Amino acid sequence: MTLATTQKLTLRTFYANKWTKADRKLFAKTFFDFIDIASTATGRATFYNTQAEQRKMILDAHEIMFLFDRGIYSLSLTLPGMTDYSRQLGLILLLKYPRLTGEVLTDTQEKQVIHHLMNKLPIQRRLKLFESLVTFRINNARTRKLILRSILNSSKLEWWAVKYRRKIATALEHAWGKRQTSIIRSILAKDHVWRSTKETSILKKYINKHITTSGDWSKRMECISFILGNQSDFKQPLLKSYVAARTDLKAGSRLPFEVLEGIRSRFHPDVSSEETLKLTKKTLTTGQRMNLQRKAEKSNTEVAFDPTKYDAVRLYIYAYEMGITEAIKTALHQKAIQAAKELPIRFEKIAILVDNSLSMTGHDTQAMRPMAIACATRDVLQAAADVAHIQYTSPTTATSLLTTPIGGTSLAEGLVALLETQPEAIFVLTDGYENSPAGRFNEVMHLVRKMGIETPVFQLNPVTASEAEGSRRLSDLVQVMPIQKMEALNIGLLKAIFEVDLEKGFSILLSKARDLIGG
Amino acid sequence: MFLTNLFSRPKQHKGLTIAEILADTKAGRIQTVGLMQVIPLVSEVADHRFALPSSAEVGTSGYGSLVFSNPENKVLIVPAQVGYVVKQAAQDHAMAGAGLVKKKGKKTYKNAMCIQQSQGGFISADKHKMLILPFSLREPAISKRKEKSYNKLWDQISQFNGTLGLNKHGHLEYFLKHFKKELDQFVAEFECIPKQVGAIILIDGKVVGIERTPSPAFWKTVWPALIRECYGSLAIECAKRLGDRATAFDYRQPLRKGIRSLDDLKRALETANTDESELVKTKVRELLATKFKLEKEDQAGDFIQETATQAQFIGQIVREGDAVKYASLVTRKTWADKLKWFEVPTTPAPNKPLPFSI
Repeated sequence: MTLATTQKLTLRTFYANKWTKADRKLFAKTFFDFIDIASTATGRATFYNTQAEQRKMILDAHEIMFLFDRGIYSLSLTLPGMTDYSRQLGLILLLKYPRLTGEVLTDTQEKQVIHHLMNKLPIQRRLKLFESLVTFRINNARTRKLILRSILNSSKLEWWAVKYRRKIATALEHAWGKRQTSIIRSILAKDHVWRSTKETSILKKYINKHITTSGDWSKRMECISFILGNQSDFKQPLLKSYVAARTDLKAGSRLPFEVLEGIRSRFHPDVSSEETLKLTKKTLTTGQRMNLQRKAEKSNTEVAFDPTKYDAVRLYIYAYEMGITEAIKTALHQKAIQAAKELPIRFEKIAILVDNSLSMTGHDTQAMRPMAIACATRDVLQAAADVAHIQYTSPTTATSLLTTPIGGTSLAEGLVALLETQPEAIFVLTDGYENSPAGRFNEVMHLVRKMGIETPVFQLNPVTASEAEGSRRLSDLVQVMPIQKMEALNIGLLKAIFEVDLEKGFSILLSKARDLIGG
Repeated sequence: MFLTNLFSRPKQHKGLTIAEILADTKAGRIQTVGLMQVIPLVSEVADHRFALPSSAEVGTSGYGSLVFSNPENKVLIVPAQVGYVVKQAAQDHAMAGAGLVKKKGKKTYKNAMCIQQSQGGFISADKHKMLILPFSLREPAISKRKEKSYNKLWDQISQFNGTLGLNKHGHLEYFLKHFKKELDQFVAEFECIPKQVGAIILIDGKVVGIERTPSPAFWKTVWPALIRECYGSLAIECAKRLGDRATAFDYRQPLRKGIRSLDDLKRALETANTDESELVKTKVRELLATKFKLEKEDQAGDFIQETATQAQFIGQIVREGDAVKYASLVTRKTWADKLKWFEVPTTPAPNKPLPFSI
């Protein structure tokens, strides 16, 4: 039986004390599985699973939780540490299925959650979500409104227009419908002086009505006209640059790198890609500055790169590829201290066991990500404790922050060595695959507990393994915390509270969500 | 001098032992997951004179013909029983043995075979993902290396599928598709260690394969295919045969009883690791002195490719003089059947020091 098939299990029946012990157990398992998956899974292939396997596993976990309690499900998604992919999936489910009577959240509260989730998504993910809404044919009034308001009210509409022109056009067409989009395109192609009263009222109905932010409406209209493919004389600087760059590449220096690169390859094939980089180096986003370092090095172009602007995991991934510098080391140190401050708990003495076996390299599509997450988590935990003993499964250079993944996985010896230091808690950073030999860690855990040593052991798992329906567990005596971002440490500790006291867990979840979305 | 060379017959090699095949390698820490155990073989000597199999462009020029183009300025060793299951509408193919392709050379193997019965079309030349045939198909394949018939392995593939409860047809992809998840797990569970150039593979406590490559880079290229399709498939077959006995803990040495402190536990772990390692190494030691009969198949410069056979193993090697650069040897079915699989082979222990010790 699953939560989805147990109609009587809802948050209301919980607070009415109608849950049996078995109900609580069933809920805890389902909820933890969901939290594990929603805070780690990205819907991409891992070292062990294909993309399709990953996606199926994630969708199953979401649907079960959604069917259990729509309110708890949506509030869980607002917690820091949930992946963007999970938030996208959450929005799809919330928009697809109509609300029923007696939901925990009111209509207004659910709207707040939806807006909160949407605002948390960066533009690329938002557009990906819109693509999914088109694919799944979700086109109710709430969805249409959400798409239009999200696009039309953006202060970055002009930038988005040149960067994501086609994707935004698809989203708008989904919201307006093909026929209406075509009408709007024709009206916007005309100068406003020549528009009839009827045409003006159409624009008011389909565009102006959704614009709630202040600013020049005509500028937004021009951006939409550009997005829909009109070729009129634009006044907005970026739109002008876009058109001008087709004949003179230098005129496109304001444009995003990839946009100008696209124009270069189509209209100026004789010019080199390095030239585009030189022209657009001022417009590069923080992510691009990091990603284009190698190209910049090759073309002798100095692209300013400020390591303090990136999260620790990305910095580690970057450092694994490009090498670590003093500036990166300092940034990583500062970030660890900051993240440690935000943890709900501080330790006196902890022990950290880092699995640096080869499988921590991760899948080719996300190379070094598991190891980078492990390194970043190690730093935060170290910063959150007065004393931290660190042990690695394979030899590593003690002075280097960058731990190299090599060799097999032998965790049991490390665990025993760390227990000897008598820490408050032991954190094991591993993907959960053990081979020297498999099952030894669990055997040792059982023996340790038999000896009366009750030191809590947490397994922090940087990848999701769908074959194990969530994070792969080393032992039934350890608590597993999936980690994808540093915020997930908070979720992990919250989960630990849930395991001890369900009621306390619910109240923390509700109050945390209330802090985030208000109300 | 010239005449001497011209008329002198190549000498028949006196044969090699497993110890000689594994010379210059050392055993690493054993890895155990479920029924399968892997002893990594590491070496301080890495021979980089060979192109990696992943660098070759592979295609079919006819049914039963595999073409390898070697773009590198190094000799290419085509791994024994390498296969290509492609997404394009083309018949999947595999090699009957190993191969040697000269620097920047191109070679057609007309003794290759189809592993996808009812599919037409040729594989277009490209860098395709390779696999190594499942363990149970490797001996039949090598035995048929001299036959030129594209459908020579269909019966064995049908039989192999049948033993695993799949449709009895000459379609290897049926197996690959059905057990995809299990096979993927093997890749994740058994990890390469630094300087690894080979491995000895045991399933259900028996040595089933001995693999050696010229360098760690070469090893990294072939290991996923070996552990996934070749030995992974045998672990699946074995688990099916053992049924309930195939539990994850069967082959791990349990920790001794009466552990009362962390010091005790530490010692118990050390003892269990040593015992486990010794137990497995004993089985390997017993094999080291047995000699292989060698039969020459091909040559590229100083590198000679040979089929190596003895009562227990069959496979192919590539050597330069007495130095073995590549070896892929699997247990023969006749041997496994004779021993009813569960008995330990008993070859007399060697009297003199061997070039490889474990």
